[in-house]
Amino acid sequence: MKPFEMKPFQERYQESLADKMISRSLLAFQRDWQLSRQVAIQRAEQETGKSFSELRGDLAATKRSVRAEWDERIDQFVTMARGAGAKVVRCGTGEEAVRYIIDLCRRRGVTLVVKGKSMASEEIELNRHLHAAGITPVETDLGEWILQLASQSPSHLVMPAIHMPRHQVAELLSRTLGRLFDPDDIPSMVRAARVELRDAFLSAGVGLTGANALVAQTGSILLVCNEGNNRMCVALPPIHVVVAGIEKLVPTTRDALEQVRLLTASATGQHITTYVNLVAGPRPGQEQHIVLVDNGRRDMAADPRYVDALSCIRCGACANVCPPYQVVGGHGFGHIYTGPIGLVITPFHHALDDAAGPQALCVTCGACSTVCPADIPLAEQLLSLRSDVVTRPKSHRLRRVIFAAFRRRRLVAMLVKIGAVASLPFRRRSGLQIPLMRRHTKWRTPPVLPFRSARQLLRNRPARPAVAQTEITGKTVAVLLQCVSDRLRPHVAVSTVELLQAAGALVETPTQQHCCGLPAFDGGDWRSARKMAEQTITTFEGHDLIVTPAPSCVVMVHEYRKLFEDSPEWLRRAARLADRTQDLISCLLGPARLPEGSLATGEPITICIDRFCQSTNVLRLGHRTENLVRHLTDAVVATLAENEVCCGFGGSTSFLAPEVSQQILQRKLRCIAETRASVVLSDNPGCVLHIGAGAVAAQLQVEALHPAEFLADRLHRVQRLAK
Amino acid sequence: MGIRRGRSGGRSAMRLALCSRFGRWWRIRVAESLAGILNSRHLAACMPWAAMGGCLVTSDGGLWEEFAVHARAAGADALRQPTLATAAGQIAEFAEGLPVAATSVVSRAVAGLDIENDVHTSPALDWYGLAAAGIVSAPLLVAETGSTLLLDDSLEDRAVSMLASKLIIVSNVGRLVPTLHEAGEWLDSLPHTPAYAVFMTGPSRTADIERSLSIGVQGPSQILIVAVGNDSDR
Repeated sequence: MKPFEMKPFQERYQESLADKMISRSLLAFQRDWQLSRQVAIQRAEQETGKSFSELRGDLAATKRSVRAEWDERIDQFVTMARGAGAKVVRCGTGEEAVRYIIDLCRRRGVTLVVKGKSMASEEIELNRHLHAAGITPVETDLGEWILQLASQSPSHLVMPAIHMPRHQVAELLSRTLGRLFDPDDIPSMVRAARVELRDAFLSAGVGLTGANALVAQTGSILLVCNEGNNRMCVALPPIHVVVAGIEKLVPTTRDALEQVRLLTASATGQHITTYVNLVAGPRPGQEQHIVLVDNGRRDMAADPRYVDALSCIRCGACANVCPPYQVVGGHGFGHIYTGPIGLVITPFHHALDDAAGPQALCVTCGACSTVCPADIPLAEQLLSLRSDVVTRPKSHRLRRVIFAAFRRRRLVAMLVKIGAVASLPFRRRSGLQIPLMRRHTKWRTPPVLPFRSARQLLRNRPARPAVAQTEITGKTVAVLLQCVSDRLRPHVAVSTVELLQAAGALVETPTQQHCCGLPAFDGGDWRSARKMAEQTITTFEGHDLIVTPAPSCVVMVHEYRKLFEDSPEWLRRAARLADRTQDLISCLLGPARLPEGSLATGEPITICIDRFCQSTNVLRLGHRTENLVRHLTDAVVATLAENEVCCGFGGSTSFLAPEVSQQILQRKLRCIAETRASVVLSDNPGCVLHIGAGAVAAQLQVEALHPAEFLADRLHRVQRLAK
Repeated sequence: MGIRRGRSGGRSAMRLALCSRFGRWWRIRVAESLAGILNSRHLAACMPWAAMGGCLVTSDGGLWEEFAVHARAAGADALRQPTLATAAGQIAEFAEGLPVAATSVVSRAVAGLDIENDVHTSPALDWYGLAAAGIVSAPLLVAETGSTLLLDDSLEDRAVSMLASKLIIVSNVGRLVPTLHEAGEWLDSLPHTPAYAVFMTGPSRTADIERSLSIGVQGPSQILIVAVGNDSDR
């Protein structure tokens, strides 16, 4: 058994992609987990009479209150734990912690250490160092034990061996234990672990565990587990060593138990784990050493962008809803710590460079933030991380050049025109067929580039007659065209204008507008994003209501506060813009609401509706598109499974990690195909292009449309019928 | 009911070594003798928690049913009987004639009784946990989760609930609390923090191989919870 060594990111990424079992088992897991988590959270809500957001608010507040008096709480814990008979050491770095544990083993002549599952010990790479010092660590959590036999690292915070199929486990055990295991007889493999590990438990000199919480008031540690291995590591060997990060402190036993409720519901959808241990001091005749590790935690506390990540209780929920994680698993999407939270904390415990590769896979869908039981703003933190990665000296120069060029409106307009001409030879009816770009085009047929942008199409175009009187009748509405619809899908912008005119609005499309800055912001180049934000603010300053077909632009306008942190004047102007900007769907349901059924045509059509992930996760728009379509038209809306899961567009991700984007899109297309709808609506133009291009490549008989396009088409039909 | 024999060679040597390491164990012959010892006269000795102090918040009615539903959902069996004596038959049936190890609290209740604990005739407790049963007592039952709280401190006592493959947990209906919150409050209110406390909910389990659930990994694979007493005890 050789100790695990971390390979470079590209190698891990390619290996993860090649292993089809990873994405298959993670997809099944994510779907099951969603259901069982929902049930467990609902039960927690019933038991406590609080909503999930209140529960997680409480947990975050508890953790924050501890950090506010961190030193006092640590002192209190140390005093109480010493009083209970433990020896407590504080270590500033991982190396110090490792040195202490190795010295202890040497002093006591210990050569065998049994370990309960502990991410803190993974963080400080304890196993590798123990091996080097001639001490054998034996993992006793079944999943960790299997990984140790296979010289691998955990790919998930809670389910460490989730990437490994049963036949691989059977092969591994047959090879290691020298007798044959049947891959279909999982209980026999579990029994083998029980027998093998019991010898280790009974002969080990040290039992090493982590801690799910450190209780300041009593000096106890809280440990949860299902297998029962943790409590054996605690009790059986003559020395018990605890390795825990200092962020694990909570004030009282009650707080620790409240945390268990959210931890188990979020981790495995259980109401409680089989064992919840509270250990205060050693058992009679035993030594206990508690190693408190800082290793970058105080630096994290000093950075307001990342401080909330210290509230993490390591449940892994963020990974369980993460679409890119589903494709590549934790070995690709993470370093030692995996999943969204893993990416955020890696720069502090390890290095920014270690997070650089995997963070590029994030599609910025924001799902992680919605399920986090500690209310950590993971989506925002991941964007900050990307910006840190991109602005490292001497890195991502090409990206910065691209965004610097993208800032220029006329240059972009010209380049699209040149592209439209240059791509003429590759035009087919369904889209562009470009050789040499197979990595990007074989699964996503690029759309034909239009010669005329939306702003050109709208110039001198007569206004559509109003259908009915609404709140915005006679009022001026400015349309933020959005760069993608303007240049690549002008039909979306034109339809938007028509619908607003149908509601009686006087529509203006300021010609100075270009891009809200989202691509650069998502891409981590915040300098360019700021330039584009300033331009957008200036352009729309004189307007009272600004409507855009792209909710992503609305999200971005609200994000401006992050770009202007140093300028109160710009902050004020950005806030004014944010207050007056609305997405089209909300506008059509609100001030521009047309009478019920006013776009009903009487022609049967079945559609399905995909919700733009940020509309759901950030703007919380929920069923709005469904409501609007049902209100205005007589179309049949088929239920689309996983309609809140990202389609895989993810801005830069679909270009930098096309394999990930492709697999997420295919997951989406399978769900769409199941509905048998002839049209799929998505409220974000980027997603419409992405899903449409994927559907063409997959030869799926479904048309991807923006709701504006669909509704404008209904409008035309209604007006034609009226004539 | 046959008596399992200890396995040969190395295992026996290991077992001897372990017995000496963990000291003396109470070994109880089950079946009729168990029925004899588990009578209500000794109940108080089995459950000395009132003396521990602390503030116990319970609520009225319906808690047992809630507890039993959740305990069963977690894979344990839950019985309620007026006295331990009336539960003895079911306990003996559960133990299937296996040797039973008891914690010191339970053993003290047993000590004054005339029971057979002949180390020569009854097979030694199998440390591999494949054959033995254990009996422990719980000072708190949590209705919300179907959990039992065990407060055993010494290694010998902890080992009973850790290593036995069939575990009997006895408690009193009056020790039911509604949620983990009250359990935490009770623990916080104790004059002395227990050195070791574990909320145990159902048998030991894992889903680490392809998320397929397997019962009985390191700890017990079968659990019987017996709560004695009437509602008037509450």
